[in-house]
Amino acid sequence: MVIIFLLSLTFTASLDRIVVSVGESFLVSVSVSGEDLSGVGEPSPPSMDKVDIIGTSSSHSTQIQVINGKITRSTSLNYEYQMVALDEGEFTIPSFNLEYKGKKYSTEPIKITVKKTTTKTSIPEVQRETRGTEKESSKKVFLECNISKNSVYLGEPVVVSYYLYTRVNLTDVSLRSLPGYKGVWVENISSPQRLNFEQTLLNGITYSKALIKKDLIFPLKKERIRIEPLTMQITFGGDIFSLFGETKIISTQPKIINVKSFPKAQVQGFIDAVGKFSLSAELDTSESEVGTPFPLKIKIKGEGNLSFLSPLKLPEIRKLKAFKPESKGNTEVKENTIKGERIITYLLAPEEAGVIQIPQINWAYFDPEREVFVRKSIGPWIIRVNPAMKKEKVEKSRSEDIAYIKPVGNKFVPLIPRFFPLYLFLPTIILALSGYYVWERKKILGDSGYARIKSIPAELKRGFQNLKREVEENRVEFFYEELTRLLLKFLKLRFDINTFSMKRDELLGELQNENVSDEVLPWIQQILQKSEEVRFASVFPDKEEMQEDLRRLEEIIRVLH
Amino acid sequence: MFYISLFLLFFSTSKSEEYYKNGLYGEALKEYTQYLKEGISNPELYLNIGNCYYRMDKFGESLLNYRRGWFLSPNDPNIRHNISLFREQKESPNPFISFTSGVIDRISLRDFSYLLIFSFTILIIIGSIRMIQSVRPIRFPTTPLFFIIGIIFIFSLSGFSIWQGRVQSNWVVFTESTIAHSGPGDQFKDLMTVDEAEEGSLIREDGGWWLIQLYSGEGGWVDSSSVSLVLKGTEGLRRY
Repeated sequence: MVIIFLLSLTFTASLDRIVVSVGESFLVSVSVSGEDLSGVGEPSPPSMDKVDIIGTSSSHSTQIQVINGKITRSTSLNYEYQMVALDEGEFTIPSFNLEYKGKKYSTEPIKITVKKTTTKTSIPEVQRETRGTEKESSKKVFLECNISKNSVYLGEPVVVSYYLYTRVNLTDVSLRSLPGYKGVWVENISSPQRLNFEQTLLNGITYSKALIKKDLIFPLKKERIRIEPLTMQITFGGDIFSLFGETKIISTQPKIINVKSFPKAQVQGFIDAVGKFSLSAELDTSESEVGTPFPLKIKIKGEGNLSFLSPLKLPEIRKLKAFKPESKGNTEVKENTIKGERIITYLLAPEEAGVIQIPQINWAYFDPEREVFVRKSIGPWIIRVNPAMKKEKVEKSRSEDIAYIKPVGNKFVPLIPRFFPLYLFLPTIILALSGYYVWERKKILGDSGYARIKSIPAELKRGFQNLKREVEENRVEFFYEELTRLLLKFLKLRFDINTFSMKRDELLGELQNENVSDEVLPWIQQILQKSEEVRFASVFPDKEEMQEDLRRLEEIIRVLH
Repeated sequence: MFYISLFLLFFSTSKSEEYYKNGLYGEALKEYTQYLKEGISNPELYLNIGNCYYRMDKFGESLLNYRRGWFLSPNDPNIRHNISLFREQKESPNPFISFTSGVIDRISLRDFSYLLIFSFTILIIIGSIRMIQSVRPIRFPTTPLFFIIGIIFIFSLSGFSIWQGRVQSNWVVFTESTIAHSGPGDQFKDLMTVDEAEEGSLIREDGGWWLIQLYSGEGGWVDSSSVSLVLKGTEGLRRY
């Protein structure tokens, strides 16, 4: 322990042990004590290359002493830094610094020895528990994260387990956050839906212990892996007097896994396979044809990083095109690794006829237990490639031969008639006209007044044609006879009165009742009177007079219709 | 002037036939392609162009032009025969479906259009007469005629829809062998090799890559330079 006395403030730093392994966490305790610590800030830790700070915590305590009747009071601020050594060797943790009331305080540097990690595949459960829970033993409830290895090769599996330890009855347990993994392939081994507690002894204290989660992780990048904390909310201590117990948030400590380089230069054919594997290949055919692909199946069987193995690289093969392979895995997580097989299927398409040799394919994997590369190979194969069947088919069709050419006219044959939508539209006009006809016909049949009025134009048209003919032929008597008939017919249709059986005065009186204007009545009277004169008094008006009367009739009809 | 054009056309037609007879298929093809540029378009022309390509061992181009001819005149025995050298006609086990599809396959979209116009017009006239009969007595057998023409109308509408579906499907023919990928680019996974003269329909375009579904059901993205649309860019096969 190194102690610095300056004025009334003590600033110290200490280690929990001076020899640790690579990847193993250790604790640096920094304490600030004095009579008056108001306004003291947090110490600033030194920057270090070979040590990583993975967690901090702080606490404070006050001590009051009475010596010879004099009361002294001292306060302590305690900071704990959890660190992990990244590399082996002896090195120094530099000073922690503190600034208080314009003065600078520093702790003495501390030496620490970091040993190489023992490369065991797994650490005994009891040993891990003891080491990981030394500082937790005094707690009632805590979480612990165990990792099977601190230092692994790229692609080598590590088991990460999360346990809940308790000495009290828990009334509620819930997960707040799951651990985050970066740069690793994760396979879940176990995530129990219910907590199964079992008794275990830790530093002489009996705990109930339950597995929360167990994962198998494979490093994918050559960089340190930091296992982030798993956090839970727990409630304990509830009884009949206090319905609600004490609720706490607890977390695991972060963990660091060091990813090592492979022991020597990589061998030919090695890509990323780490574990123990066997290699075999299957080629279904020894004969193919140009353009028809055939499969080459390569099977990798064993245990290791089978879930994300990269396919083998085929050598360049002349006259043979290799398509991108399809990789299918049949694996399961078993005994803290992945076991099973991966089948990689390559489709190879011959480009030319003849005999093609597929050369030997070399492949290698790294065995992390023996720390050696293991070489494997498959092949070679010989394939006979026939000309494409299509050619034969064409030859066959040629024997049948195509139909001969035909004389080409100069006609333009469209795919679809021009104005096709218009042709479809035109018939709807017929339908519309028919509809209108039926509507009008129904109205005429149902409404006699409308029928009468609708029939006027046809009657008039015929009548006027007759009258014009009579004028041209200067047949005065016929003209006035027809003129009177046409006038009476029009008035009959227009006002629905029996004009032919009425005398002139009766007719005029009736028309007056029908509110015929005074302007028109004299014209009607005039025409009727002139007709009577022609018939009975042998008066013969000339052509101009006849035309004048014809125009007058037109005017009467125009006004009354 | 018209007669001079006709004379020149007759002369050049004879010339292209002469080339073909003498085995100068490339020259004959140039002549026939010239007719297309002049606005001539008919089944016989596409048959002859297809034949020229066939003799030049360009089977994809050959089938492409037979298909164009087939769209214009599906009942042409020569075109049917030549296409049958590439494709086997699959027949339905149901005799009714087999017969109906056989009939529909022999009537062109154009003929179905005429039949549709005719039957629709007659149906409208019959309907109009039927309406007029409600207000004026006309002796006309509207009900049996409506039934008969109605069947013709449904048949022509079905045939028209089937052919219109073929037109809308963006029918394509592979003019050369190529590789189909899982996405629009060489960097995507190779799915399969597609042979020259395979047929399918264009689903989507992305730059110079087309997503094609073959009529066997498989599909993938292919370089558009290896595929041609049967009904696009062809003067004689304008949609409307």
